[in-house]
Amino acid sequence: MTVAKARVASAPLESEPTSDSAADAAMMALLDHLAEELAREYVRLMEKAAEGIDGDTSR
Amino acid sequence: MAPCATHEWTLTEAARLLGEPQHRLIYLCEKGVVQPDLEDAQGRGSSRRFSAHNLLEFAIALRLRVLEIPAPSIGAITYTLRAFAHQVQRHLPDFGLPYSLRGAGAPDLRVLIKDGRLYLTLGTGKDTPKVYGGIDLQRLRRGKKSAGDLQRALVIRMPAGRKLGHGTNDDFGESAGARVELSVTRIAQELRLEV
Repeated sequence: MTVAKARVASAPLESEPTSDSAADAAMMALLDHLAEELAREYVRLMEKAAEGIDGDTSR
Repeated sequence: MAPCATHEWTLTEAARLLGEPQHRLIYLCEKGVVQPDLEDAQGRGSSRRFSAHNLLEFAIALRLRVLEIPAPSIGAITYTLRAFAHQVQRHLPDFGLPYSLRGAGAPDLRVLIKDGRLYLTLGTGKDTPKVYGGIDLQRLRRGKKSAGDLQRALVIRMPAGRKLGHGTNDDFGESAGARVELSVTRIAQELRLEV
């Protein structure tokens, strides 16, 4: 599976947590990063769709 | 009548809309999978009140529970979707779940669990959906009771060489591991939100 090769996560996510709180922070950061990437793509798709609508109405 | 974005539902109303017994919803709250947006229970007899986003979380969680996905893993998914919504709102202030996924032409947001790893995919149907994530859910500890405990349980120990990433759905074609996939967009669109 090649998915994991596509992008490098922030450095702290790869380090072994030394405590529960460190582990919590690492996991939360990982999930937040996932959400951020997804949100960026969602916004891109919405902007692309809006451009399409604008393009149609300008004809 | 369609509800406004600020409408709230009681536990009884939420259970009725979702067609589930109340105890299943209470279980998800107590496991921290769904945290009532409007008023949390502070003790026996107090009332929980839920937002439309909470109803979406319930609907997703109930489907994943049927597929025997552990509560901490579902909690990680609901957490991520909430963080996703907050991130989108920074750019699109009117964005909100589930409403923004209910319109015609809404992107197809999917949760995918494969080989114990969590991915989220997003696509429009025109292009190949992009895949994000690869989080090892098997590292989550089980049996936590509160939201705080759940969050504290979110342990990440990424194996060497494994990175958080994104790609396309085609990347999943060759592996024969267990796979669970559901469309958040479809669940949002099928969600009954009548007042």
